[in-house]
Amino acid sequence: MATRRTPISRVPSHLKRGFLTRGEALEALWLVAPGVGLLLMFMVWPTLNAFCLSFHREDLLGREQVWVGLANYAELLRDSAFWRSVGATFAFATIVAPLQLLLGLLAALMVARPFPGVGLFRTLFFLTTAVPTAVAAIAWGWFLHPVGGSLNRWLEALGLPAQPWLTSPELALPTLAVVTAWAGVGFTAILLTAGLQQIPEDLYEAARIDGANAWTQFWRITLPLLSPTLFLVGLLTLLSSLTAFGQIHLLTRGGPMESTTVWVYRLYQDAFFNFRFTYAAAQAVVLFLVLLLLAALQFRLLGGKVHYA
Amino acid sequence: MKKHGFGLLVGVVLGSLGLAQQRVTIDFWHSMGGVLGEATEALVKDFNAAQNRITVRSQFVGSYDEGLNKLQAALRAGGQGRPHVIQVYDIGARFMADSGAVIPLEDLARANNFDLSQFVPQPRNYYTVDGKLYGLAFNSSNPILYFNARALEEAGIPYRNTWSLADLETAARRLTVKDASGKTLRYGLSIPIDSWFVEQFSYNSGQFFCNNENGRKARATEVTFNNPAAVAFLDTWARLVREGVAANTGRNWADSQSLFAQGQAAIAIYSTASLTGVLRQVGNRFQVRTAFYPYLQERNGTAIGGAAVYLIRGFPEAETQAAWEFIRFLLRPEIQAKWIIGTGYFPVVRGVTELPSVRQAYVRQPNYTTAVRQLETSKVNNASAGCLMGGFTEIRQIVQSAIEEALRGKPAQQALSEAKGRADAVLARYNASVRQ
Repeated sequence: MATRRTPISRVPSHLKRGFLTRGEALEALWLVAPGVGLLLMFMVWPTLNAFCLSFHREDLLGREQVWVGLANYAELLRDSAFWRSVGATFAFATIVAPLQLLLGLLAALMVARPFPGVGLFRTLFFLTTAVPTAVAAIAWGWFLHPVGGSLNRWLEALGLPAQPWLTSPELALPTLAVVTAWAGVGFTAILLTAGLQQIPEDLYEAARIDGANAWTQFWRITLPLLSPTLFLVGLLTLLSSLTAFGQIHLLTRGGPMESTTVWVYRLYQDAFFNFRFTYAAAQAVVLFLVLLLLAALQFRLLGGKVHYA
Repeated sequence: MKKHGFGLLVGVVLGSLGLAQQRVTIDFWHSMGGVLGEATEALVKDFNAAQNRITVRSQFVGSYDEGLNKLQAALRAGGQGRPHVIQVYDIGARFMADSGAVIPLEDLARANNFDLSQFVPQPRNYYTVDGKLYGLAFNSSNPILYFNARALEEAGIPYRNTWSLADLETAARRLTVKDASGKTLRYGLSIPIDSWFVEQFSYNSGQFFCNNENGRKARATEVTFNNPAAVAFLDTWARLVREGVAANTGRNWADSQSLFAQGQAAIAIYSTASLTGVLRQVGNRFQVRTAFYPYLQERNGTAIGGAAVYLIRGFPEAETQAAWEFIRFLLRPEIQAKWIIGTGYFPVVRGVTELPSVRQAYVRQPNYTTAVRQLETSKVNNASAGCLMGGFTEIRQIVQSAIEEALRGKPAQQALSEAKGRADAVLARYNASVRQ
């Protein structure tokens, strides 16, 4: 276990049990070197590079980089297309996060306690997470096709009008949000199931003896004790929905009328279609800061409340 | 004779000696997937088998945008890992010329005494930038009309080769079938939301999509997609969508094609390159007929779409020469014939359509001749040369949004004029970023 103690000075207090010998420290360094190297190469370096890029302007092929300070950021603040994408992003997240949390909670409540065949249901719920985004998006594309899609055929069979799910600017974003929530339900359900299983069974026993029905048990025991997990999962869901990309790229490409051009899609287009790398870098940096803020908030609010078993 | 034989022997010996040292490998990046990818790989294989001095290493690099991105990344990294030959889409022509990373095809052709007049004029015009031919039109396509022949017959509408927009509108209305409640059972028309169709309608009606005559007389500085033809086209399209005559299936071509293939849209507009896929999807449900792209008042001619291959600068002379030989091979009539029969694209050098194999293929499937005949009967001018400008990918996105706005009820003139403001800003930014 000595290898897990790293010779970094700011070690969390519970790891500060003793000092490493010189030999141990060297050994540890060797063991972490590949991981740290990869991290530096593929995470830290590109991130720093993006920061640096966002303060420059360049010619077509990036050969002439000119320092422009905050000009890209100033342009960003004035860019109505950017602000529309920010609006779309938060509208998207406000649908995805609660929906995914709710569906995940329902699923978790169903499979948290063992019963015959529980494994099958757990697998079924998790399946949506195991399906690759591309496969799911294509399947949803068929399902939601404006004319020949199953959903519209079912609606018509029920006497309801067919809807332009992905082709109208009003419906496209909510539809994508539902698709995204569907894909994330499994992940949410697993975390919440773990949270539910942490709740001591004797609390329920005591409640039953006191005559509490299932409804009361849920509101008085399950929900309060699950709330740290719920909060954590909610923030995780929020963060992931703010960076949704695959399903948007495959189903609407940011259309119709740019209604589904969310932040990440906007910066993707600016970087890889419009070849405005420096401008896209500025968007990425701002998004990074927003996500960082949310993550910090999450740690601060959850600080001592979450126990990682 | 004897002397000659000796010389040949020496040549062979020297050649094989040289072979041991000088076998050249060149990299070719392309964006042809599926059936087209197989046809491309077959050409590369043929080339590698046909001689033993050069090996072409081909690589599928994803979509055109992804390929261009990879090239950009390589060039940004000082050229490390860049290919000798790359396939880049039509609208990347201005960018490729501006990048300074390309050896103009014309320079190589002249240096190697290749007669440029062998090229079919439209593809040559399209890839000519500032008076010089830069890329070789590798896969060239056109937009065409697709008809459900049975639906035409049932409605008593005679098939024609050429359609004005007004004729098309009338036919689409007659082909639309609605139930008692007014719900459309079969649409008359289906067009995927794509800027390309607005561009081509402008060209085919003799209008320009960007200023300075499509950027052909001088660098384009403004878009002109609010021209009368484009406005009329979008107005008609939007009116038909609102009336339930035309289907709005969004930007995804596949969604429109499945509609057409299932007989739920009687007329559709796609590319000639979609033909093989559409025919396969339709199967035996009905007969498909194709016709020339519509126009406003008088048919001018469409510009080519598709992609070209470019030679990248900065390699040793021997490798550049090897890349040229690969290009030269692609231009051989028999290779062009094989390529067009396998793909449905049209030839870029003269004399290919007269080859027996091509004629037979065209007799077997006359729909494939539509593209070639459309090209042959197109006027050769700056309108049909197509708009040459930078930032085209971004501008297409803007046009697509304008189409979507018009389909929802905004007057086409207003939607396109507003989009022009945004597109002009993109173009100005692009032009400023070009190192003069």
